[in-house]
Amino acid sequence: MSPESLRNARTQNDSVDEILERYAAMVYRLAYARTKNRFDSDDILQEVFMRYIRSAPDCQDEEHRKAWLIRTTINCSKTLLTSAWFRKTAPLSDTLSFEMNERSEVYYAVLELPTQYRTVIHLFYYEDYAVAEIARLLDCKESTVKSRLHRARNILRDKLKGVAFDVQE
Amino acid sequence: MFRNKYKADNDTINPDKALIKYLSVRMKQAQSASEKPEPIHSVVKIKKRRLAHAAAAIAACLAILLSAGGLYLHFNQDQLHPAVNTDQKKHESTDESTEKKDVNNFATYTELYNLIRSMEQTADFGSDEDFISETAPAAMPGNNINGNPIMKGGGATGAATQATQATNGKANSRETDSHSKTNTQVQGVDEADIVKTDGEYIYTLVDGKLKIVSVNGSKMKMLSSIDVGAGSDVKSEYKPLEFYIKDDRLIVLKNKYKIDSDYSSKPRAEIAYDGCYVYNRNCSVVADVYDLSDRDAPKLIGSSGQSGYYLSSRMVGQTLYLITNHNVYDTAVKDSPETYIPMIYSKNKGRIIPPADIYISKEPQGRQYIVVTSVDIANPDKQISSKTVFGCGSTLYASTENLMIASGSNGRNSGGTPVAGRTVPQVAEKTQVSGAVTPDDSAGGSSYTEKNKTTTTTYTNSTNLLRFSLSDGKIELAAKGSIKGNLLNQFSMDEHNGVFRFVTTVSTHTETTSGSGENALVTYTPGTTTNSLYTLNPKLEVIGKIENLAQNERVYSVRFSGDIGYFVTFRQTDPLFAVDLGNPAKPKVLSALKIPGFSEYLHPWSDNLLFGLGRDADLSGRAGYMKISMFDVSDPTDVSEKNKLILDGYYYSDASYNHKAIVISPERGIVAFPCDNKYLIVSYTQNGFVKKAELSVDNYGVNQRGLYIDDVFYVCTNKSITAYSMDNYKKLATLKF
Repeated sequence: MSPESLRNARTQNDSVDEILERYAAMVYRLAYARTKNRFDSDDILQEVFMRYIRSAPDCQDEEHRKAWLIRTTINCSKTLLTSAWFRKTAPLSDTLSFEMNERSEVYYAVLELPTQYRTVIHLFYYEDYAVAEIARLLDCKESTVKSRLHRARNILRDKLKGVAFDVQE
Repeated sequence: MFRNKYKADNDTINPDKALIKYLSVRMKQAQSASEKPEPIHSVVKIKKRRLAHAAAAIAACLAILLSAGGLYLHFNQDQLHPAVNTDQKKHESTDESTEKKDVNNFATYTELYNLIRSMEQTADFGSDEDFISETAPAAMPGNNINGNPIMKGGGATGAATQATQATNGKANSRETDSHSKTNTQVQGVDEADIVKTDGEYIYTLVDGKLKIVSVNGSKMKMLSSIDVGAGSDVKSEYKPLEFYIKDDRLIVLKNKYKIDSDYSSKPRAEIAYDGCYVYNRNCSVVADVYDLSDRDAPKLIGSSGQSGYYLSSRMVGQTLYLITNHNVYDTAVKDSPETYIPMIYSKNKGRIIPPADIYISKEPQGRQYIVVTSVDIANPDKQISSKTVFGCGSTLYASTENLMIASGSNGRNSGGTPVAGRTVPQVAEKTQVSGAVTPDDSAGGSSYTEKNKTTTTTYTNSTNLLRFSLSDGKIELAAKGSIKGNLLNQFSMDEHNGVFRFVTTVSTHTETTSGSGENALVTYTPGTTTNSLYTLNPKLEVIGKIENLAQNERVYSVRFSGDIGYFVTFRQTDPLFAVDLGNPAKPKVLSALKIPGFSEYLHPWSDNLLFGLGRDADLSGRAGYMKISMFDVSDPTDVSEKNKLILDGYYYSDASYNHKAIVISPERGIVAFPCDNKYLIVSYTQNGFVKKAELSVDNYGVNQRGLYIDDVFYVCTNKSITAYSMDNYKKLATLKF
């Protein structure tokens, strides 16, 4: 069989499970970085993927799909974070000790940052996006991303003082 | 390094597997019913709705899974059965008539096709879990494999003697050589890496180039740089992974991604940077073999390959064993077996693995194959043997005689098989009273309905095992088994005197369903986490075990050393367990040393000493600086931490997760490993650890390797090799790439 026939045999539609396998953790981790608790992250995870199924975005490639999911995650968590209910009731829950096997200085330091900073830090350091890509994802100027990153790094450096992490990189 | 640590932290944050499962069901339902968007009124409301949906989904999910379980059983009443040759002549054309054959006896392409299709249609959750009840006969995997002798030599005793010399877990990197070697798990079984040395040359894989450097003390000189990733174009992308050096042979392993035609208009960098971020369904692994008799001009002398993503590899003598995972997508076309059967390649020609070499796992966990091939590096254009199992695998252990493939999640997530399901009827209320549901008329006079029932199911994670026997490249599936819990990594498995030993972390979670239908509520409760040790015979039957160790802790590191097994669990303090396995049927905990912190890597230093690399921790269990320990194990009933060194200011080392990143040499009395943005060399004598050098490196702790040749220590990064004198660790020379 030729590679050609293999390609022809494929369809563009990946199964739900494949998409979940590839992206569920990504969405969840970003949601967690933004909401800081597992319950809201659970909700956002479901909301994002249900929106994905309902709106069936026409993703040209995986990068596009990934970007769509990241944007939707940010939007969903934005809706939640700005809701009056959340602002009034959301505790700074310590469910993290349940998630993580040990308390991590680094992750906690990131969680203590303001939401906007957390988001750029997460996209930059965890998802390895470049500044320009983050600007596109967040629909803001590159300079905004840069300054958020810069300020977040300063705070982190201060928090993690004496800790041998090179936050710059 | 911040990025690494932040990533590592994030990797521990995972969505609940059960949640993913019902989300999957919901998505599928929505997909088929093109569900109307739910109006979003408020967050609180959404939550309520979700719970109702969840319950319905879970109910559906369980039902589907149970039926799927039944289906597998029907297909595979003989567990793992090799296809018989009579069918082989038919497979080329995937003769329709094969369908009519007794599926219990044959694994034909058509049968596989049907199985794959059936998994699509029912519920393929694509995960590494299955929901077949252990209490049902379906899930008790037996070990008799038709037509396959369990072991040559006629069984367990033969196996035992053969295995004896093969694996002594002990001090594998111990050597009297003048140079260091890749730190491997089992003596006599080489593992691929990104930097290697043979004492005269350093070989390093940098940015797709294999560089050969003659060392000659500190007078380093680059002899050649092979573009091992060459051949990439818009249609395919090569990503070199690791390599082996064996005498005058270099074996480079690389992933080959075929790029979909739709992508070809885009710049390649955008499509496939770093390979792993881009999902590509057409991946194969290629092993290129080079002749190095002239190291200035290495010659490619052959190559072979196979479908799938690189899982791991081993080399025993002249034989390379290559293991990949091959996924089947929704693209299986009945008349084109190549769309759903893995292929092996040699001399750029591909062929489908014949039915005789295909096994179907009793409980296929997703549409995935594990593909194992062997290649004689003297004759690299041809596989000696190839085998594939429809099922999956994630962690593997190899001795010189056996290859053990374990599947299950790698110990970080809960999930698995329900071990006990019970239905607890609550104090049932009349439906009229609740008013929330309509009375069930069809119940025929019963004033109660099922709607107020609470069902509680407890799930325990488990690991399925496959044992292949290896003999001069001949691979035979020898046994299949299952144990409770998940493995941490390859060090969680061991073979000694024909006994296979495993340490697992067993976790449970409980799902409680109250009511049914739209009004059902499902709650997930994480249960207990305990740790177990199992000993198995060559048939992979459990012959001895210790269970319920260290409740609510998980395994951080394991090392077997002859008759003794050591493992570390952690919550606040580090119990280092020493277990006597002298009588495999009755393993016995000899001691449990509690010290602050935990070890993430254990290595037998000498008969009396065990080295541990890990982290310090305060009394609340919060991990602190890196810590190295030397445990006195001369009396296994009284293990003590003889020496320790807390590495102030250091938090992260690749060596905690990758044993190949550490150099341990009891002969030289040194331990060397990357740590944050430095490379550390620590000496060990009777008096304890002494930090000898904190070398600056130019690439922030990524893929650094250290090695020594004679009296020179080399630190290899992706930018340079730097030589240091081992007398005083002064820099001698640097070779920049």
